[in-house]
Amino acid sequence: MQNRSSLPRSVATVALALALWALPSGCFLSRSRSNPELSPEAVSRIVPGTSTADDVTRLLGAPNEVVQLGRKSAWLYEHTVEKQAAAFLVILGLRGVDTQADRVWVFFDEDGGVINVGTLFQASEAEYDLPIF
Amino acid sequence: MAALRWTSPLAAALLATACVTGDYNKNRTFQRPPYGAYEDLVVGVTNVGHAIDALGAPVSVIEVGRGLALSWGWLETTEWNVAATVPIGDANGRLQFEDTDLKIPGIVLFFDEDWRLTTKREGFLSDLLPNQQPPRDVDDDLTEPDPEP
Repeated sequence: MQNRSSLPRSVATVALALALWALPSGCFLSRSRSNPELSPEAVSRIVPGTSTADDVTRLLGAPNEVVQLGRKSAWLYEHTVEKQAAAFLVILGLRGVDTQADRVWVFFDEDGGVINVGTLFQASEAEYDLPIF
Repeated sequence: MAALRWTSPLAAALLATACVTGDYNKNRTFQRPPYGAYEDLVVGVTNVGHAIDALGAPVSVIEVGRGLALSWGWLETTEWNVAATVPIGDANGRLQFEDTDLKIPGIVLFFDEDWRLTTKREGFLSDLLPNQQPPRDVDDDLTEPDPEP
């Protein structure tokens, strides 16, 4: 009889202990972005040897960065996505941050004509990744 | 007695909460260009167009002399931080351990004034990238001697 009555009490104690353990814990997910998204379709309309700085500005807007390369130049367009996942287990914090970017560099000759376009579209690959070990 | 057996470790855990904390962080920033793409670049042959077609848009473009350097960087780190706070009289003493060694791996390609590849390097960006200089005076280009009449 004694064994039968002690079982529910120990279960209740464990449940209480778990509840107290979990009470101060927390978690969050966050997502932040910088700069407007870049449209692959708009970027594909920039044609080396044909497009000009005016065309690029019309399609993508003002660049995030301009680099002077002698009489030539390069313009940077970048959109980043950062996803963050975190959990706090009383004395232990776990946090994962993943930052990915869509990035376009447009290179111009000294007359403002496009000579090269470098593209990278990886912003959509950012993940919520909580480090579980 | 059974309750005491469960509550004692719980009390110890809650007590420890007050003075010991730990963090485990994982960070991924950008991605390495496709494997093999870097190896396929040929010094003296590859130009800027070929390089960005193969590796994608670089993280940075800087002017180096009359040429330029393109760099690609990516980062995947995991780090542990452990901190302990110990009451000492009216004040608190805090010990902290951080397992952090932040060096960004990457690729840097150097191009001459005709934008042809002269040097390619792989390693840590802080070791590979030259110190950035202000843009050069383009009027220097005009100071070349006049051609023979």
